[in-house]
Amino acid sequence: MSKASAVPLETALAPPAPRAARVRRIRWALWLPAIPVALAIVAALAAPWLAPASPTSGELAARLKPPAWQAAALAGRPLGTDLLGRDVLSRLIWGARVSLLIAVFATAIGAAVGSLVGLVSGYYRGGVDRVITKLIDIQLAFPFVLLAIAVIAVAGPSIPVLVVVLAIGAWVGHARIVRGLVLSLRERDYVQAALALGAGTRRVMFRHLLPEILSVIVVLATFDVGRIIILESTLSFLGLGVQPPTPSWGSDLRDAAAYVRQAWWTATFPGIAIMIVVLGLNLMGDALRDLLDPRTRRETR
Amino acid sequence: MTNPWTRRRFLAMASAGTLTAVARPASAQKRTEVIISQPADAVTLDPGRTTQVLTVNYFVNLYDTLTRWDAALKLGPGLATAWKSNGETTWEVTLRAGVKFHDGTPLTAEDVKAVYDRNIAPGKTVVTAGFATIESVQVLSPTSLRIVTKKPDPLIPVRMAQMGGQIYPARYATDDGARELARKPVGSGAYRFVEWLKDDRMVMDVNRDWWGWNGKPPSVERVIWKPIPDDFARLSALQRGEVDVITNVPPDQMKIVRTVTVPATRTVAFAMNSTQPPLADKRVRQALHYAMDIQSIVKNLFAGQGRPMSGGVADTDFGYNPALQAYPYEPERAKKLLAEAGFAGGVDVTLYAGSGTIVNDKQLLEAIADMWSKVGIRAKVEMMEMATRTKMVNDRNLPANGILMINPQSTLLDADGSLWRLLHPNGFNGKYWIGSQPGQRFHDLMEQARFTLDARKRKDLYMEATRLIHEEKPWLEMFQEVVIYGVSRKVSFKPRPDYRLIAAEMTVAR
Repeated sequence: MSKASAVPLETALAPPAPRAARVRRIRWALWLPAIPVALAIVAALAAPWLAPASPTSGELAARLKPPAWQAAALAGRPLGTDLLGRDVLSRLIWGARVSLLIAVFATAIGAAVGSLVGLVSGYYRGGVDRVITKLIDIQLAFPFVLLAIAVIAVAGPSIPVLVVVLAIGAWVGHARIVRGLVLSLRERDYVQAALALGAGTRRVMFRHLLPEILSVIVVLATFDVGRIIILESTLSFLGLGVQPPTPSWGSDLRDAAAYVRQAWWTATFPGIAIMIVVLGLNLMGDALRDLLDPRTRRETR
Repeated sequence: MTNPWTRRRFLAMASAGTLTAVARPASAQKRTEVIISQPADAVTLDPGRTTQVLTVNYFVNLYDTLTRWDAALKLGPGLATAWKSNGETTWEVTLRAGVKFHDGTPLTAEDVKAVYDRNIAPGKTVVTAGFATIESVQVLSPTSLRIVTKKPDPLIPVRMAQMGGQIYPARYATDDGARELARKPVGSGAYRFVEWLKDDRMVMDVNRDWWGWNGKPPSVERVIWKPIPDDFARLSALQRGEVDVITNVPPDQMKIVRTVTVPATRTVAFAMNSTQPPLADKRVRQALHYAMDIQSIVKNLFAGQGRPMSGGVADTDFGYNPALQAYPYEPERAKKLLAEAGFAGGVDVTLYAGSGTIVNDKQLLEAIADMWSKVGIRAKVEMMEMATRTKMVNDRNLPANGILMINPQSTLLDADGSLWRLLHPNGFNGKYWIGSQPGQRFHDLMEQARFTLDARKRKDLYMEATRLIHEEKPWLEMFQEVVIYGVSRKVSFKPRPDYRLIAAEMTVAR
């Protein structure tokens, strides 16, 4: 860790900064990257009011027009038009809705299923654990894109199918981490005490274990949303994702790729959108982890 | 990136300067050559084993056929100098005398019989379907033979020019012989095979004894084929002067190189399932056409390279009906037709295409869907993997409101090879339109035309059949494609509508 080694010895050995100061520092690390993410969420929620034009309908004759600051620009098309003469800005705004919707739902399903499986596996241990661990290993050994192609080829490309496919890609990470945490938490005195007092399985799982690991799940899910936006773009890029004319950042990027030399704006803006939102989500994930789990921060030093 | 002009200028200066005296004698001895680049290499050199359009371009330079299409797509003599029918099921063919294969052996009627017998035999070649009407070939003398057909077949002279009709020595018409032919072809064509490094280059040298030169000296003395799969790389190779002729130029990128174009025999259309509602109603199918601005699509998406059409037959083919024009863009009329058909609330359809069927295919589908949405036709766009599309076509399971992109081309240059190949009850679209079933007017016209020897009568039958297509619209009819070649300044040739690249028709500056 180059960052850690740059810190003077006294500082590193000094007791951790008072909680308030640390929280303040983390707050900046959390709010700054949250700006692009918040913008994307606003765009997604308010798309019908924000978008200046229809995202799916265009004028063929006005195809590939440059953004407003270039000579041949078209009025009312601030970021230019795409291959079919549709407004790039409007597609970007509506694309946020589709891309975020898919990512959030896939993450939610993946996190819920993965955490539950991890909880069961870590709680019961033994045979159940061995079977589940093997299942996780099998899933990890299977190339995700190949799996996605197979599922989509059978079920046909649509948004619900896409959400399910991406959730399949997401649950494993949650299951593995939650299982590991539960395995060690289960030996803690307070859990043993609850068990000794006769608490039922469900009560121990959801009252005693789950709240303790919830923060980890939230952090993990934040990273997942970013990862899934990229995955969705990958699938859309392969033609397996969101079907036209529905706008999504990934499919727009794919369509525009062949025209980069003639019309750079068609590919550049969806590309930038994906980049800053995913970057924002990852930085937010980092900050959240620091905020919610101060121990990891000290231990990683 | 080096600037191509720098090197070219340097060469120009060098040749204009003191080097001229040295360079001249060398260039006088050098052969004139043309380097051709297509997106893929030949898959085989055995004409019985493939009909793939890029590979056929190798065949047409190495081999001759009995009859052949000239650059204006007129059928003329090839290895056969005369052919005539007895009016029923036999054709007598006279071969050109004194023709020799590239290995020096004479070409006789025995060779033709051996090739045709191999083509007729089931399972030996992939061209059997085109020879299916032939019963047998009989040798009458070394330069004459008789072709016997199962039923009267007016298309025999055309079939003699089709894919698979290339003549090679009889000894190659066996299984072992064909394997040898696939690597080291021996034909009688204008160019003879020299060497082939798979996926790198193939070299062919001029055959000065070819009968087709007609006393004129050949302009191109050597042809080198250099496949380059990537469109951009192929365009750059031409710009840099590394190759002289390139095929498959995307229309939107035409401006960056020097191009020659010609309307192709291939068309763009969509098969649709018109046996179930809503597409079972003719008015709905017509509304689909009135609601689609095909002129704007061709102009904006295909850089003007395409000719909107109607009637199902390309203007290069026998059976083309010049009286039929593509429906105009009249959205109001489309709305009215939908309302009359009882679909005032609009209809739902799905546009399907295999990715890569033609350039800009996905954009084409989206553009159509967008135009339709303005009159209440709600179209979903579904791009499929080519394998999925092939399965849909082979299993004949186009969904009830499905509209699938097809790309019909008649290698016979006759409506029989496109319209009736696809709409025949056994063809891909036969199942999806009541008009193509026995007892229906269109079906009966096409069946009658197939076995009518009198060209004028056949033409009349086709005129009525194409009018039915124009009126009924069992297909979503789009446009006739344009062949686009990129060409260097040193080469000139007249592009052929049938996609064939024939070096003997090219001239090259020395």
